[in-house]
Amino acid sequence: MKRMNLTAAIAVAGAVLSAPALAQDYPSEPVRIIVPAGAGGGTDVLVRTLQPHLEEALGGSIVVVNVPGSGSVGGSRRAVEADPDGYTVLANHVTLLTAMALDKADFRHTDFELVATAVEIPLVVVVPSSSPHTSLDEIMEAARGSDPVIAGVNLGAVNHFSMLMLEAQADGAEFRYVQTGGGAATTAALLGEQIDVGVLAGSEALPITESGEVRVIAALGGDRIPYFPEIPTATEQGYEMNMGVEYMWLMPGGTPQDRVTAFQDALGVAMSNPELTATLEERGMIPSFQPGSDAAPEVDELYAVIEGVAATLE
Amino acid sequence: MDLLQPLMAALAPLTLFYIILGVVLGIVVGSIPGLTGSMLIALSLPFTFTMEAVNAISMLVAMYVGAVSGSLITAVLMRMPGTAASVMTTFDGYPMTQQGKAGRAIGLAIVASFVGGIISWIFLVLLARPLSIIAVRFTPFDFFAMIMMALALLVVLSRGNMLKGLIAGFLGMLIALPGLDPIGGNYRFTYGIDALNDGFKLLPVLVGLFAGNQVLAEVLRPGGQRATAGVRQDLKGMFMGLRDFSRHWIGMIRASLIGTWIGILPGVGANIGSAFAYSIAKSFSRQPEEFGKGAEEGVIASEAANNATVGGALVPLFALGIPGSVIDAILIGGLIIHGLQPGPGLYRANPEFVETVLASVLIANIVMLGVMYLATGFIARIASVPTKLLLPGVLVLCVIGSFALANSWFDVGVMLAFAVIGFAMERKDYPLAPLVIGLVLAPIAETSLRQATMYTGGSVWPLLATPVPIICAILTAGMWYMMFRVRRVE
Repeated sequence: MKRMNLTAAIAVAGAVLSAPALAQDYPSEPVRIIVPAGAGGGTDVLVRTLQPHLEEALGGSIVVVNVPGSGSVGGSRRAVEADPDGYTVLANHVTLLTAMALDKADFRHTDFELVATAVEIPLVVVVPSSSPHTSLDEIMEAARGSDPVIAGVNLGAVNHFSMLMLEAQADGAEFRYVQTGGGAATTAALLGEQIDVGVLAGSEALPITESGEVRVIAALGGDRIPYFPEIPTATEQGYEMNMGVEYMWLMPGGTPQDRVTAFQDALGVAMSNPELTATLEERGMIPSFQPGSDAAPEVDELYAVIEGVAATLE
Repeated sequence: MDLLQPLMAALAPLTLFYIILGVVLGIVVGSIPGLTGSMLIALSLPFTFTMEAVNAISMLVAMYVGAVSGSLITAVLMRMPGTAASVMTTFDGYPMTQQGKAGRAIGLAIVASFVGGIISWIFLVLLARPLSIIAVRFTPFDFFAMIMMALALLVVLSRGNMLKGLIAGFLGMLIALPGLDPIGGNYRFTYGIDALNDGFKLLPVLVGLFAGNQVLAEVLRPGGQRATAGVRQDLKGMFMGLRDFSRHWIGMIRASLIGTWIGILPGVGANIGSAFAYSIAKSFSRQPEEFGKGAEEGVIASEAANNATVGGALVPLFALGIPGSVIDAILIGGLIIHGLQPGPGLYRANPEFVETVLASVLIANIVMLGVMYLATGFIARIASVPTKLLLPGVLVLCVIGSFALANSWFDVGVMLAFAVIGFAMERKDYPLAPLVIGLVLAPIAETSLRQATMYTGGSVWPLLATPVPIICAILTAGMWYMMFRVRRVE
């Protein structure tokens, strides 16, 4: 008993003594941030915007590695299979969860260490300005009728899931889903009045709302969007909904906790930089930061919801 | 459209530098028989990753302008077209050289190239924006019809054996199938290989087909050195006088208009444009018997038209996201790599970008004129350097370029495989252009047709009963008829 305690004490002492030493060693080589998408896309721009601030806070250099394709699964796989040494970080968002729910990824988000969530891109429901609909209830009412209401989405992506979640809360409403694709293509389809409704990132919707070509009828996040102050959230309109593209910063499972913490702290410091937050806001993103331990239950909850919606798709 | 602002943007020092670099590289590579503009642009693409999108695309477009122009030098001096774009130029350009009029032939060809470039540029500026505005109203059925038109034209316009063109086109479409299904997002034909989840990426395929293939071809060429007769030509008389203009302006404008129109048609490029203009110039000529023996009109028709296809081909690229030529197909890859979504939304989402690139096309043509005048003699000497000396460098660039795309060795393997496929195809006289166009257009065709039926709940009736598909069908029939007539004349 006494001996056991002694061993434990030595082990603890060793850990306590060596931990700061380890943390000081980190990073001794460049940290790779895997962007599971091409150069120039939304995720890439975000990570590269953060890069100099992160490098400063971390006290080491950062290399951005683009691994595009397979709807982000390729890059995520590259990250989950990497050595858990703290030198590989993945920046991904709700797409990781939808890919899991649709069985497109053979790993789980729990196979990663969730370092933190930081930066959110809000989502909005958009209709062409010629549309008679001004609220979610109105468009759901139309979707109960016999004429098809065409929803342009990227099948299996977050905009599709959002529409499905709204639809499920309106008895008898049924959209006709059409694959328009990502933001740019869905925007074109809205402008050409090819579709009756679509879900866009707030930043994508802003210029075409200001020009009067489309109308935003709901914000899908928990709060109203700073640059769309008049637009009520879906929750305010009586729908249970909290969906946004919130960036998750992940390391391979098994990464030493002190390194996870070191990167997490650096991210937190970077996100408190007013210069960075101003830049992000300018680009239509909402600066935010939550350490992994706080964010994990929310991510699990979101995944449970997404899994439920995915089950209805089968 | 306000022209001044994009022009100033394109004249920014760094952008201007890339345009000049692009034109010079284009001219040099275009002038070397065996190296093509497609190869240059496919190889350069990975090196633009770190550049700003505007500079990257401006440079690639400048290479396009340069390559189509540079190929005339060796076509006239050595009867070896630098690229397929100048095949028709050899017919009259080389006889002029034999008659001691090389300088004059090159001078006429340069001015014709410039005029062709400028006229097609005017159409590009006039058409791209209005077309992109109308284009958001085009339904998926309309897009499907336009792509079917492109594929139908490609087969009939591909020179040589039509059946082989058709087979190459189908092969291209097959290569497009593995990977993510563009509608449902499910993997198909991946045979459980993770690396195939994205299918065959465009860039390694293109680099293999156009650059890797060339390395193989040169290495395996029987008999070693290509005979490059060291023709030291007197390049006097390069500058056109006013009298020449008054004599040739009609021919130049006619060929430029033909070239622009052929360029706009999706999928067909400079070689078809110049062949078409040449045939028509011959049929309008008062001395058709002179064609093939050193007719100035022939050189002018070929060179004005092939340059005019460049501006024309960029119209559907920027307005609709449909490539107007093989090089455009590579530019589509460039846009995607730089996070720009090709399609009707491109112009409106990034007006400054598109307009600056349009201004770059104008500047590239002017730079081309200057470089060609000043450096033709010098370039002619570079062009006679044995291609073999350049091959190790080209091979290294092929590997780096394919790897850099996604940091994946699989892509390098794809590049090597397509180098072999391209080599085998050319050995057996299968054209590569239909393969590339098929590869690029198949996903757009599939997406638009499947989208279209999602809109209508399964019906394909609009394909037979709405204006755009009907117009496409009529245009296709008309072009088929004309092409068959031209073939008979030839």
